[in-house]
Amino acid sequence: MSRRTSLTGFIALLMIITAVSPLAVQATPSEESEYYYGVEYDWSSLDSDLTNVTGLDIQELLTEIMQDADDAGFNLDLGQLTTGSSNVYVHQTEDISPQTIQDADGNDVDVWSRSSDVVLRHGLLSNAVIMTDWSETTFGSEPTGFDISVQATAENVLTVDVLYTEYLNDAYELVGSDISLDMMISNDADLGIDITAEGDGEELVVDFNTGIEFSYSIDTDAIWRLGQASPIYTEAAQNQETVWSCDEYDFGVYDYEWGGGSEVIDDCGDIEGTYSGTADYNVFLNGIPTEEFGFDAGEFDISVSDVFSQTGDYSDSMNIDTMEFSMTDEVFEVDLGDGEVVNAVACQSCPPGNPVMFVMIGNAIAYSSESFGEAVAEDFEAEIEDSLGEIFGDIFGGGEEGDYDDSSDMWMCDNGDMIPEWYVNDGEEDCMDGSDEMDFFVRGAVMYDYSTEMDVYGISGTVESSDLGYTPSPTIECLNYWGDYEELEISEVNDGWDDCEDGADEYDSGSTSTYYCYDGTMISFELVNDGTYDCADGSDEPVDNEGDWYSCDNGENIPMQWVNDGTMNCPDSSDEYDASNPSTFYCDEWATSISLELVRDGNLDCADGTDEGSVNYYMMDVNLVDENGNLLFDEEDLMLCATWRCDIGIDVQSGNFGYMSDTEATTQYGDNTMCASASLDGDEYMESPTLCGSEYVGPEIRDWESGISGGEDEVHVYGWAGHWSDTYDDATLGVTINKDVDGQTTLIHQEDIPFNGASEVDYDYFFTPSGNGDYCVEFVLIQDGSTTPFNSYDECMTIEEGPEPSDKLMTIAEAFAESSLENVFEAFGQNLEETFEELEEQEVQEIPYTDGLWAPLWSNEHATIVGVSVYAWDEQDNGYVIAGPSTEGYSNYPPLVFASINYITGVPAQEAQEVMAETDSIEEIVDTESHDLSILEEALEEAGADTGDLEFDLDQETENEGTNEGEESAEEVADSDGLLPFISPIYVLAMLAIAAFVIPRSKQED
Amino acid sequence: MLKRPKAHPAFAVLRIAVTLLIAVHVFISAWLVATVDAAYTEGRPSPTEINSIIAIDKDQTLIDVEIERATSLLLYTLSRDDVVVENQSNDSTPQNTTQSNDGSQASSDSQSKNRDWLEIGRSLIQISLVILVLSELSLLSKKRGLSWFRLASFSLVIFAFFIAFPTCYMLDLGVAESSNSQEDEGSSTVAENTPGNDLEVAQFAHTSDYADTGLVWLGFQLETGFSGYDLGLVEPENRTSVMESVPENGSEDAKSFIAFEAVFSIQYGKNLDSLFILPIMWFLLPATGKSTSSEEE
Repeated sequence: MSRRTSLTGFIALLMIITAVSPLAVQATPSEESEYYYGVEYDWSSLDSDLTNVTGLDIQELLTEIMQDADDAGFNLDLGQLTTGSSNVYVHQTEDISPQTIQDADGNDVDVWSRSSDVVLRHGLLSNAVIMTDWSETTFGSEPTGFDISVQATAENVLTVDVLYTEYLNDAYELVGSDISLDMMISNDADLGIDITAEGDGEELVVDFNTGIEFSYSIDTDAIWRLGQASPIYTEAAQNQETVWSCDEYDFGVYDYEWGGGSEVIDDCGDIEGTYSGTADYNVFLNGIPTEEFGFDAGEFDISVSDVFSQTGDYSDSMNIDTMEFSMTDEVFEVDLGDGEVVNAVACQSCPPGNPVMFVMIGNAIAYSSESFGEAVAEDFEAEIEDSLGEIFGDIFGGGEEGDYDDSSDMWMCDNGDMIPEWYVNDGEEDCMDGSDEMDFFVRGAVMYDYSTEMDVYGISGTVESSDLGYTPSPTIECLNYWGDYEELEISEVNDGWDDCEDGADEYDSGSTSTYYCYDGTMISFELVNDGTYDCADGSDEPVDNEGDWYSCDNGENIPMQWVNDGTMNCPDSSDEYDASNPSTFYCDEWATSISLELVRDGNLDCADGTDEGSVNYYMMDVNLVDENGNLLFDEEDLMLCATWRCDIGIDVQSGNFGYMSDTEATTQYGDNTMCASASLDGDEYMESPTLCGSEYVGPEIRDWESGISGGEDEVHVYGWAGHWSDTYDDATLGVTINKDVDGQTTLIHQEDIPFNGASEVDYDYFFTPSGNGDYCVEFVLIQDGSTTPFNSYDECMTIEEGPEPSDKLMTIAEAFAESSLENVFEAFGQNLEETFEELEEQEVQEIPYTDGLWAPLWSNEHATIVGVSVYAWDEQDNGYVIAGPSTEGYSNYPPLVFASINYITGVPAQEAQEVMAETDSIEEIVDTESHDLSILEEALEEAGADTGDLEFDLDQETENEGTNEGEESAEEVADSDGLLPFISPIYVLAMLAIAAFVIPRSKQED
Repeated sequence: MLKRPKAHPAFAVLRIAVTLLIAVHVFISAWLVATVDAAYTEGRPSPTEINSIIAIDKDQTLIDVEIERATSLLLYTLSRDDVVVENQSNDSTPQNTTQSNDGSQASSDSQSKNRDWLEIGRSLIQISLVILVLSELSLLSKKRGLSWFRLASFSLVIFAFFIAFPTCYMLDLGVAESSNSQEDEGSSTVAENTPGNDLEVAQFAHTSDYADTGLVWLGFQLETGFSGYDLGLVEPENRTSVMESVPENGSEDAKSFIAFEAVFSIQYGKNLDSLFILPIMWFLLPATGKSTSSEEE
């Protein structure tokens, strides 16, 4: 078959397949396909593209700014040059030959595969120059002025090579994928500042360079297998809206809740891979004129660098945040290159390539980088922890000595690790052995009893409610009013109150119309919490954990199992049947009455069964002691159950409970250490460990601040202490400010501020420091009758003279202060303001389009993205391809192109990809010869700048010994050959010897 | 055996020219070069390497510092606390712990003292070189005894370069050390800028150190090593126990073990050896008739 015939037939087949779409992707393709596409951008078009987008001529604007400076009285020359290239190429192929891979369970699966070979190369070179000079000479004085040139260079490279292969079964379901990814990022940035400043006969020359170089590369190979084959491609091809997410337990295909589409929830399985990573950095500073700023060294050059390399592996669950496939209605007939034409729709929410591949790339980069980072961090574990601790300490007001000693707040795990005490029982396992999270624990507390208006001891605690036989009610996910998602108990659903901000807890025929039972079946949301079980598993109704209670004649409630048990539990004995005084038991919501004798007789006499009901309750013993073991309170046989009727009511969802005793708390202000323990007896017996913790009582220092204020000659000290609600008349805030010099302490200020019945007091004080030293402020709270503070905070600040600038620097600074430079800058500011005002008044460029579309092109035939395009339409509804493949009915010649993007397909894309795949350096990616700095130099000279002193090859300079031409490094000075660079001392001696013998001989000859 | 050449009037011009050339040559060259090659080890397989070179010439002190594999040292600097061990006397002052990373500077008085020593050395060298050139010029007068003046001025130059100036530098370092210890603060002198030179033994426990000096070509070198448990890396409540006994291997406190090794060398500027051309030149290009007469004999 000739190629022509084959192609024609293939296109005809495609059209037929398209015509019978959307069912076209439900089986293995009958023919393999292969296509290329690529996008290229040349950064040298940046200026013109910015002009197209903004309507502003950037160069003209810079010229106007330079003119503003000239009008103000100083020279300003600005120039920049950017050269670069960004290229990405995609090569997609299908291999429909039968293949066998292993799925997540290790079972062989027959599949076919398709691959994406992605090559991304980005390189950018930038140079920017700012030159400015100004000089002023007044009669009889030396000139005052500056000549400054600032040069910045930047070099960025990003290379990414991806070979992604995904495996699909005969039903076009995704089984898994493999990826091989190499990524390298490097950034070099240099800044050179040359300053010549003169004034009053002095001249200061600074030639300063700094720069940072950073690179990171990661190579990873990873395998991903889903927990079950995913129909994501077929669903995305069949529906206009498809949402894809992961849930290990609740996977399947559902109607999209917001209508019009499908929701695919997959058991996304795990990703496993190996990686090899390298990162390095180098920071350098050269030519720092330290001597002029009071330091002894003439010049100080420093470079700091490090290189990290690690290899390893990783294994984790595949992470897919909800991904949307949102397709437009319009079908575009696009040319994939080499004559292959397909119908495609715009998947506006998709990336410009196979979305699943992007997910895989994201996970591979994230997990390999995370593993690399963790491996590197292990080398510095102790330092990083300390450093972070210090940084966070500084941020949150700590950091200085004496203010907070966290050592006493550490808790030891069973395996000996130490964790902060507040991590214990916080719901997350922080110890490696999980010993910080306990199934049953209680803590001591001081509580305010409103009935007696006094503080009493109590406990709060948590127990795993399921261990006690309680069953948490079903929940729904709900966005609360704080913007967080939380689980809302189903008893709150359809109760007439909007507990969720998005209304997800109340039935609405529009948005909240469906409820998924725990077994996956669907019912109307209206039926949830209506008192009737509509889900087969009962997950639409709250669970009754309260049990059945018997109401004594006097109104008290007792568990049903206590009725007729032979013991009189009601004070009025009404729980025991008395034949001499028969009484009645009402059930079935008071519809039925039976004799009390029939209650708890083993036979169901009521339709609702309450006559044989029971309550799940436990008896708790509680013990609370202080840090010295002195008993604070001890109570036994406290009834715990899932209702308010007991001494202690437990919240089944969280397992939390609390109890307030009658024992008055005899605590002092400040931290009171209490150790609590408890036991539960019922169907199960549980004992809690003895947990000690501190309970703070009384006012506390809640805010503080000290620092230099109002210039450098005044220190501001501020403190605030109190309680949000309570008032005090037996506490005092004491403030002491001391100055410490070489161990000699001098009192600066001391003040006591009693609360006098207020809930808070504050302190606000300014003072002028008298010389250098450590100034320390201490806040203390003292309870009347005590000499020991129950709460304190102190911090110190050091005030000292910094290094003194040199006389030369001071002389020049004074000359500038006395000059008219301030007026010059003020005039420049006004000129700039006028320039930008004129800019605002300019008419905005008219854009010849009325609509546009970002269109990653989704082909239902291929069930993936086959290209990317940007379309625009004018007033006459004519369509244009701004960037993208040729599209039937759309012009490739738009009236305005915003950016010089080149979109290529077919053989040109293939050739470009092959060439670019071989490149990895800036020289190979970017046409560096076109980055002609002489253009920049000429432009600056045309603007009147003297470029004689500019070192346009700044980067080269820094690589070569790390200094610039004007200044020498210590190494260069040490290695300098002085006046005899080419003549060794031996050679000099030889010359002298020759002279010694030749000169007298020539005399003799004369 | 080669005979010494006869004196010649043209020799005087040549001698003056060469003397001037060498005087300027050494004047504009580095006079003293100090290098520090140090390594900091704290657990990581590859230690941080610090290479520093300090060149001192007629105008200034130039310092290049290169820190490779720097991360562990930077993190160490960030994380450690400065520890002042409490006196065991009855001093009731509470234990004071201050942060060490503020890089505060010494007072301006001590700075001027430090700068003075180097300035004195520089002045001495400049004066001696001028005298050396003048002494060569003075020989034009052909007065007897001036060759001794030339020899004395040359000796003065040698003394200035090889004894006085290094001594001034060492004094400069010494002043910086003393201001460090007196003020317990950093100073901005060359000494402070010398990496590895700010170990404060009081902040370490179970330390061991060594120092070894030796001669190198045109200079000498000092090899030092220091290791110990840095109390600044130990939790405050554990410091006493670490001071009392060596932490067990693998314990959290054992991670506070650090080690510094440094080779500090001071060498004369590489061009200073050209000064020794001068006496050979005097032999080859004699100034007086003495040599002539001796040859005649």
